[in-house]
Amino acid sequence: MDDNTTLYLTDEEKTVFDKLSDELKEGWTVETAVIDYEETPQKQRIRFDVMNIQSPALQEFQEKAKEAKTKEEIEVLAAELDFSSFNDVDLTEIFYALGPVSIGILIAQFLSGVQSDEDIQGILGMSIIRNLLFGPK
Amino acid sequence: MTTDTDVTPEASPEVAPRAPRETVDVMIGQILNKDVEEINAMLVEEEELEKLAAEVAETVMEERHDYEEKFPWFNWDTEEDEMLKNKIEAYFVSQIDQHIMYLREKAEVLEHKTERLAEIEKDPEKKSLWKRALDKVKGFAKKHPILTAVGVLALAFAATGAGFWLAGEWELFATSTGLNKLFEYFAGVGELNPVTPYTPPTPGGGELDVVPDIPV
Repeated sequence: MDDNTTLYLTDEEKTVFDKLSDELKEGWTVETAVIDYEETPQKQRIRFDVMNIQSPALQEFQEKAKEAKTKEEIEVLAAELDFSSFNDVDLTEIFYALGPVSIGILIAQFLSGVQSDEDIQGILGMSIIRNLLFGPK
Repeated sequence: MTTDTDVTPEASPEVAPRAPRETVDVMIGQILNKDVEEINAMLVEEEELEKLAAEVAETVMEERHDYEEKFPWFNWDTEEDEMLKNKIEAYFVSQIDQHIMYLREKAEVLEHKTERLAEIEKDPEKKSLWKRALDKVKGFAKKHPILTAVGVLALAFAATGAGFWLAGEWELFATSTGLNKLFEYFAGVGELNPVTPYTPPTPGGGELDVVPDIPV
């Protein structure tokens, strides 16, 4: 396990975490996440507008997505993409665009399906990302 | 710099993605045959905006046959020229106001983004924490491909805007992946209305003489 064992979770997320088995929760501490960002639908929209993707492959996907007319076409285009291979800059852009509310929804959703300590490590990563981007300075 | 306050009517749910974005700055630039950067500089500085709207109205009136289809809500055939021109001018004043509000909020978002990323970059501890957090998420994504789907959809949303989300079919996908809340939230953003809460009435316009808002 990583030496960082503190999850920053909202009260709602903590409720989900608390429902995990004692075995899964062992070794983890939870601190209340503070979101220092007033989210609005308009801000969310603007964050997507200012998303600045660097990878040529992802840029190409975005260009082709503009021409796609169905969900299936998007899926075909996306078949070659793998989140785990996105570069750090682009991941940063994506998480910033998603914003604190969307990241929170992801955290809550993934928390409810945790099966291993590795899963919690991933959620820890998301909670840190949210905290650094939208938490207190 | 082009910006993203759309003036293109929203694509209907069954037609997606929507038409290529045409923003207020781009549209005014096209009408006046001026560079978009120049238009945006005027908008950002808020210089002579009423004069700009008047100039646009004047041009639209002079080349009305080119614009009747683009702005079908004006009474091109029945309105007196002066009244029509006033209404077109009022319309553009309203749209420019909305666009300026958008630009201001965009500047605030960019400032926040730049500030936060700079803080991470300049602080070795935060930078290291950030890097490890991203690595953890990447590792997580290998086991949870749904995270790739979220990333893909975020990229598509950024590229195509609301029409993509209003195209239908996403509801089933969202339900099947358990990410309903996220997708509902995105859909809400996609349906977002312009910020401007008030559109001034057109000169001489009665209560039924409504100028359409810009879909965002």
